[in-house]
Amino acid sequence: MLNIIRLLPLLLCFCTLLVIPVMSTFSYADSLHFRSDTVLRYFERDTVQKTGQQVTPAYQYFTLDTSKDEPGGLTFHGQGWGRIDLNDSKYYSDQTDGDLNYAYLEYSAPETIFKARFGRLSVYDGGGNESLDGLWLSTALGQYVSLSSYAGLPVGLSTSAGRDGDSIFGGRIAFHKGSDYELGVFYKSLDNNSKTQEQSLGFDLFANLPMNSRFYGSSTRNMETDGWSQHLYELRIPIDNFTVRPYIESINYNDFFNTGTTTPNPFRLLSTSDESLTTAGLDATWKYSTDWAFGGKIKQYSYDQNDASQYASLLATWSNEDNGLAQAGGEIGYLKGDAANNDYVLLRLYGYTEQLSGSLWFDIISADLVYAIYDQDIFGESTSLFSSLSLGKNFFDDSLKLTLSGDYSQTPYFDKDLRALIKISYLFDFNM
Amino acid sequence: MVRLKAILPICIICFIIILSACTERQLMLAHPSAEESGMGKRPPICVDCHDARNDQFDWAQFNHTPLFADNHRQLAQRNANVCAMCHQTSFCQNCHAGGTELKPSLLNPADSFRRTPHRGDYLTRHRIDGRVDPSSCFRCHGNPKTSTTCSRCHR
Repeated sequence: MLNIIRLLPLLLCFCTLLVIPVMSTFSYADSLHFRSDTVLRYFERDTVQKTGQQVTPAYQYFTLDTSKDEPGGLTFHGQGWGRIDLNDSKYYSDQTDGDLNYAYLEYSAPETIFKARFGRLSVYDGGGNESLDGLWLSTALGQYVSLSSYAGLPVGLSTSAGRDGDSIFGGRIAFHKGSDYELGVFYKSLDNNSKTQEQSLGFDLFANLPMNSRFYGSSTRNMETDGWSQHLYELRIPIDNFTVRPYIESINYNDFFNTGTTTPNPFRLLSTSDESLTTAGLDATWKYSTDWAFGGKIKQYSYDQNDASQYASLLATWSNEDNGLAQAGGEIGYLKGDAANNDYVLLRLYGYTEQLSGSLWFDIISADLVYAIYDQDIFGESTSLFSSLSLGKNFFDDSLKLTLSGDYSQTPYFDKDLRALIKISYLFDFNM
Repeated sequence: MVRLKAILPICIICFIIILSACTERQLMLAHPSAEESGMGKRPPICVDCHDARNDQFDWAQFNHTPLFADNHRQLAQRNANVCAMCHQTSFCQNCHAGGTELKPSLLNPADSFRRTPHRGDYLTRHRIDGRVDPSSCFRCHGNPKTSTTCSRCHR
């Protein structure tokens, strides 16, 4: 009680600093975009208490964005979700019941390139994918230099029991000449009570080459283990309607998976391994026509200690927009692993159409089929089948969307598994 | 050293704010809507309307070819402002949220045309994919919070 009284002035200051700008943003905004997604699911699982337990979770996602009619200004963006287990099945007893994915104020300067975000946000600068509660800034100096920086509390460590005092900061500076080339240097440091837990430094490259080809590359060094954690270098070569992408990627397990004491299972064991993986591959796409496109991939996985693996796949896609969107496609892939238990063939077929709207009660029909054949049985099964059918209906000028979805699986893990899902999406745009 | 680390982010932030007055924005904050631009709903091929590149901007690298979702990592990390011209944060978070319980193909079951990760029976396939290339898992599930989906079995 005494601690709460002592913290009360600080809490009031914090709430005022956060709430007032957020509320001001709403009154300052020209438009409000609100989206609600309610998802009801049904499936059966074996739990500790019961075999064939019916599990019926209900999810609620809220997404809120404000916008301005004119470029720039202050806006708010946020998304959160929550779940309740309607059947009290205890299936989710060891998982969190909800989260705030992001919630930040964003300021974009109307005339200059400056942008700032404050709140819970995601940062992708410099090879990372970080979620933090803090501040992110981005700007440029003339036409040749860009700069971004971020600092705050890492969201990814918030679930670690008994852990506090974490902070993260980093940034990227890039030198570029128009669309000709760009050289970036990035840095990230994660501290716990002023002790460095994770520190990385890297660079990224982009260059436009003759024949409209493009070169991309990045390398990241783990400063704590003093080793290069990853390299990724690729070319993109357009040849008429083809695009070819040869690439090479290299990972050192010691350096890549080692994030200090925060390395979670199942990666902690890999961080002590002396293994390295080099992936060399080639992707190709061919835009045959407005409606048809084809693609293919081949990959070679080479290890320092294990034998190599190979992967190849082909895919075809068709799309059409006469009277609504329709898309269909198929993909077949083969992974030949270093051992028979790593071999599988994967087949996928899918279809989506809005073009039956008016002919049937439903506006959208979508189907998906994924079939895998394993060279070595897993739990006595050599194949895995997943099939899904979804039906969608729009109401009130597409403001309300209803989706009914059912899927059937016959897999090594689940026998004749039927699952159902109802999703109700409500989109609300309000001009202030 | 500790004091330097504490004030370094503040110095960088002040520097950025000062620099912010110096450069005019070259790129629009938002791309014209699909209706305004005539883009339609199919994945956009930017060069259908734009030149491949000019002195200031390279459009061709953002063509949404069939494998764009597989290969957009380096582009998105360097050009998040370009992605933001068309995509709200919620679109990226569909796949990259990490802390969202429902995988993308479950949260949007009707969007079969999107190349979302973990489609179908990924529980079985991940045993093999994780052995062959564990870095593909670590990129999204590599911190204590996002690995809670893994830790149910991988204690």
